[in-house]
Amino acid sequence: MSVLPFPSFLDDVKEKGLRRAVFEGINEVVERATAGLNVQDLREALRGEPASRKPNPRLQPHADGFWLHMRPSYFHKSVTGLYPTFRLGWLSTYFVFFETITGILLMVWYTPAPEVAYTNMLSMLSVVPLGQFVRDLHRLGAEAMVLIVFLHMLRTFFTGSYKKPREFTWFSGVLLLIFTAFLSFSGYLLPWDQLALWAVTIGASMIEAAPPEIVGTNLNLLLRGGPDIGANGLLRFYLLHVLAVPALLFIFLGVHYYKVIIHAHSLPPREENIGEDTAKRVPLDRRVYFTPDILTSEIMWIAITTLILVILVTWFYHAPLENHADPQVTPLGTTAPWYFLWIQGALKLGDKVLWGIIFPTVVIVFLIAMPYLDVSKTRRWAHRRVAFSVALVLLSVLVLFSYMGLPEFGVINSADLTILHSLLQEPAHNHMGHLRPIPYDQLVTGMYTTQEFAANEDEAAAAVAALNTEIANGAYGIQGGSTLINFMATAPQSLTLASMNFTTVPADATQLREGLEFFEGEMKTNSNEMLNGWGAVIITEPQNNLKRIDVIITWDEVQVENGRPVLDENGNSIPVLDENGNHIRRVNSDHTFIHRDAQYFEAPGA
Amino acid sequence: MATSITAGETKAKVPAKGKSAAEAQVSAPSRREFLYYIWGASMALLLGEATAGLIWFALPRFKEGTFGGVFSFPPDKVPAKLTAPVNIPEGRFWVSYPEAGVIVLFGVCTHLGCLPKWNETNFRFECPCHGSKYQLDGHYIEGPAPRSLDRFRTTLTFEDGTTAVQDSAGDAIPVDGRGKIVKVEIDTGDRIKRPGRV
Amino acid sequence: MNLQRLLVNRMEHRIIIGTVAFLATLVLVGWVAINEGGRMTAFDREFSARSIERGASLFISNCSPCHGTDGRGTLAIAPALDSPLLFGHDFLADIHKERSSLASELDLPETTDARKDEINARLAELETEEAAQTQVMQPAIDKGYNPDEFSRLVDLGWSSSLHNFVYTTLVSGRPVSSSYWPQPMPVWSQTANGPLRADQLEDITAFVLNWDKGDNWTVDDLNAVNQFPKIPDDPAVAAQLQAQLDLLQQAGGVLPDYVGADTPPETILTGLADVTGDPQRGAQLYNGQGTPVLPCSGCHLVASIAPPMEGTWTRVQNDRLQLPQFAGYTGDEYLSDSIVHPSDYVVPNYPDKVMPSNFGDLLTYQDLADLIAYLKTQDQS
Repeated sequence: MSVLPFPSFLDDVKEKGLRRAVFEGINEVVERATAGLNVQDLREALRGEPASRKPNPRLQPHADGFWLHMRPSYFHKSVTGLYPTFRLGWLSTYFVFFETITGILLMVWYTPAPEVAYTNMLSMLSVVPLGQFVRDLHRLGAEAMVLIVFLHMLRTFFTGSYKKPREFTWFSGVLLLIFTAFLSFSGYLLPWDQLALWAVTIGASMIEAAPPEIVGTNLNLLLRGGPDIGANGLLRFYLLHVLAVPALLFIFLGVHYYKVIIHAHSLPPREENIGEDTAKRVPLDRRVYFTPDILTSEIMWIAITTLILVILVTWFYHAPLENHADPQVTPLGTTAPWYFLWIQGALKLGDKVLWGIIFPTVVIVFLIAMPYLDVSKTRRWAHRRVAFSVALVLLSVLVLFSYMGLPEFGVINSADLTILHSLLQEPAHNHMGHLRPIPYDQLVTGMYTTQEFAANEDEAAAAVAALNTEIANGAYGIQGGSTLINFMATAPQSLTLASMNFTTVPADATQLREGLEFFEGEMKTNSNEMLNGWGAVIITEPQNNLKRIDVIITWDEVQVENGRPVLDENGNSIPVLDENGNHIRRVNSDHTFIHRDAQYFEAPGA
Repeated sequence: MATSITAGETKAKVPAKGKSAAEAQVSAPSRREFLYYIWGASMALLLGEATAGLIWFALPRFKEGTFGGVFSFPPDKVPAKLTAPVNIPEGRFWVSYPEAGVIVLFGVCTHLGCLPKWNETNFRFECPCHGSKYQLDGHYIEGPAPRSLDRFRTTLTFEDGTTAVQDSAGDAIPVDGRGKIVKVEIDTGDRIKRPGRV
Repeated sequence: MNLQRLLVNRMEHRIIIGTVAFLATLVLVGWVAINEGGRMTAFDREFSARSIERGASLFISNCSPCHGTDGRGTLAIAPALDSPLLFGHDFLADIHKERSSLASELDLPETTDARKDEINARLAELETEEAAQTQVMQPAIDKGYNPDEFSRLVDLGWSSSLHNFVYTTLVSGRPVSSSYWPQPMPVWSQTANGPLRADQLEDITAFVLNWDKGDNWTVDDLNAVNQFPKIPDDPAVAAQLQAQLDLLQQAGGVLPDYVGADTPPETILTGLADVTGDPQRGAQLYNGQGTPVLPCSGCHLVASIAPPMEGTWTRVQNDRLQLPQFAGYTGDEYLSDSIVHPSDYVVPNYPDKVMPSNFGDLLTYQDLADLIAYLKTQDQS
């Protein structure tokens, strides 16, 4: 007779006693939750003992449970070491989820509109606890994911795992690589800073080159939502970043993993006869069960990876944030994200259509087609010398092109612009101008010149005095008969100076001294392009706690061809002469303001 | 089952199967099969239309006065001959008056879309991204740019009521001796690309 | 392979490594969390510093042509921002405070007669002190400053913060000020079809507010101001009026022969033909040392505000007269027209209507001829 009008736990208690009834109750709940493992089975698994009952209960969740039905119940022992997988596939998967979670957190504070996106970034840094932390994790994770997925592909190539029957697995993997790169790239725009806007402008401009013209133009319009990237473009990139591309990525991740399971992880090449695929036929003694071996291994890897990411963002890495995007001003030295540097490098070789569109397309098509082209059955390293050679050549080309894609390579800016930039550049790409990190108190107001450092140390003061005399006598009048003072007084410099009177750098302003020494070094390096050139740094204090640094470069114009000075037989550059046979004096200048609290010397890259 | 079939047996069975398949192919499609094909084709057509519609839906369109439409430029702001060009940031163009006449340049670098700045000291446009340089008339000087600056089709109206329209080569419009300019219209939807670095 | 042995072979290793990694992450996140308060404060400080830096650059390119690169305003063009008046500094605060407390003590019934004498003596001293202080401020008072109306915001009845005053002025400009200044404060916000974004306006505001010296404003700061919020109506104009009256008396009650602001160019040329210019007097006039007092040199100093005086004649000859619309003009014609009818032709890249158009009413033909003679000496070569 039941205690209650229906069978209940109380009946059990009555029948078996409390202790036993509770234990059996818990046991049943555990067995249902794990879809097959009771407490005893679990404890055996944790202790590393073989299962004591048959059929093996550890296989049950793979048949009955939703989550584990996606995972094989055992792996071949040969694929559970570091080699051959290096756990790169698992880590790629982990990054998909890591980025999804951190991304959703960021969405809490983000609105994809140009008016507020950048302000959102600022408030994330200024009032959101752990805001910077989460943003750094997301950004670092994104860049790491591109790298990990790429390494995963390399590994698959070197172990020959793309070969029959895994051609389609490889194909879906190439798609995932493309989606990963595009996810990372589309996220670039969202902070709406200068880096974002112009890196994406450059990236999107490559699409514009797609032939024929009408296709390229319209593709570009579709992506940007307008002739250039504005509110529409930001919204489109946001939608691509948080909806469209992740959806595709998740779908193809499913396809990819399904294929991985169907064919099982390919064994190290040396363990199989040529042409055989024994990955699915795992002898009993080579089986490594998912519970608990593989599971502990996977959790250990994500623990290590998470720790590395957290260490990096705590001390070594902060997601860049430059000034607010300005569609009307392109900053000097803008470049695409690093994983597209190879395309940028290729673009420097010439035609935009050929190198910006056809070349990457060929690379992707070649990657997709590779398993169908390389149909030799052998996966042994010794038999794949040609394939390895080709791959190493391609990798070298990739590295070379990426190097060529750096803003420093092959971009010929006039020397004056380059030097001004290297001295005053705003913090970007973890670089900043050499004069910025100087501590505020060392920015002693006054006028200084590189002539001081061009001379020997004991003649420095004399060199400065000589320059002052020259200027007082009317030397260095610039083109049009104006003086340096007048040049500085006009817009955009708008710096009113009573006189030009240079002094030597105070001895205790060591970092200012270093900055000027660097300046002089640059002037010397470029002395061919800037004949009789010298530079000046003028520091003024227009407001309390705010100093203004003006950098002036003046030189005699020389003949230039393709951005390089023309040299005569003695290796000297040839000055350009005006109608009276005189040298033409050129001048260029730039300025920045430094506030006492700006603390550039503490920023990364200082 | 499968394990009991040897390689030889499988091979022996293939021709018979293949033959019946070939027979099925030459036979005329049945009514139902044909209807399926029609259905499939209609589905494909609809998908095609949907794709076209989607592109049309997402493709931005331009109104007058916004970039991509027609701009009118105050005629008194046209710079004097061989002086610094005038920038209209919202239209992304520069009105320039080199030796040959008035010309409107699209202010976006032909390399990768950055915005060159006018450098008065060097009297040329200089692109901050990859160092392309252009003359006052947009003519390529140096750098990685594949061609000279693009131009916008421009219509000038003079005080005597005559007009001058840029030809399709995009050459500058000569204005010497034609009197005062009373109207400048710039069609930012009609971009003329120069053939190469000319 | 050691890594293989460490990470893969022994289950216990995995468990320990995983545990250590999780605990380390836990500690690190905790450490980051503990430092968040300090980090956010530091970010705010650095960010507002950089905002001021950006504001300074924007100010140089957008605001300094009128408000001056030093922010001290330009005479008859735009008021000073680096000014104790904007920040409401009361130079006489101590005197006023002491006086009012003494005055109330004087009225108290328990105050003894001896104390009353003391107080009256002190009040007299304060009177002298105030006079002395005011004397020091005289240059500013001459330019229209009133020591008793020391706060611009109070004068205007503005009840919100100074930040909002500056910011809203930037956003929507001062359209009404066109009746007062030669050029009104324009609209700067993109929301009102101006050129700048909201964050840029915040930057400029931060820069302007950084001029605040708090309690450290000096009378020198006050006297350095070129232009207070009102165009000086008292001394300069009064002196000018007096000078005109003097001239009137000398001429026997007949007003001098002013050129007239609306006189057509041909008539001006005819009038100029009768007089000979004196470059020395022209120089005095130009620099504001003659009668009438002219503000030419205030603007035509640096090219960022107006075409500079230096090289004027060269530019007229080599550039301006080469323009098609000046075919057949002489240099005198161009200069006289430019002075009397400044809006007829504005040099590219300079704003129209900045130069006052009433010089014709202030200048006689002799004055005009002297000015032109002086400008002709400004030959660059």
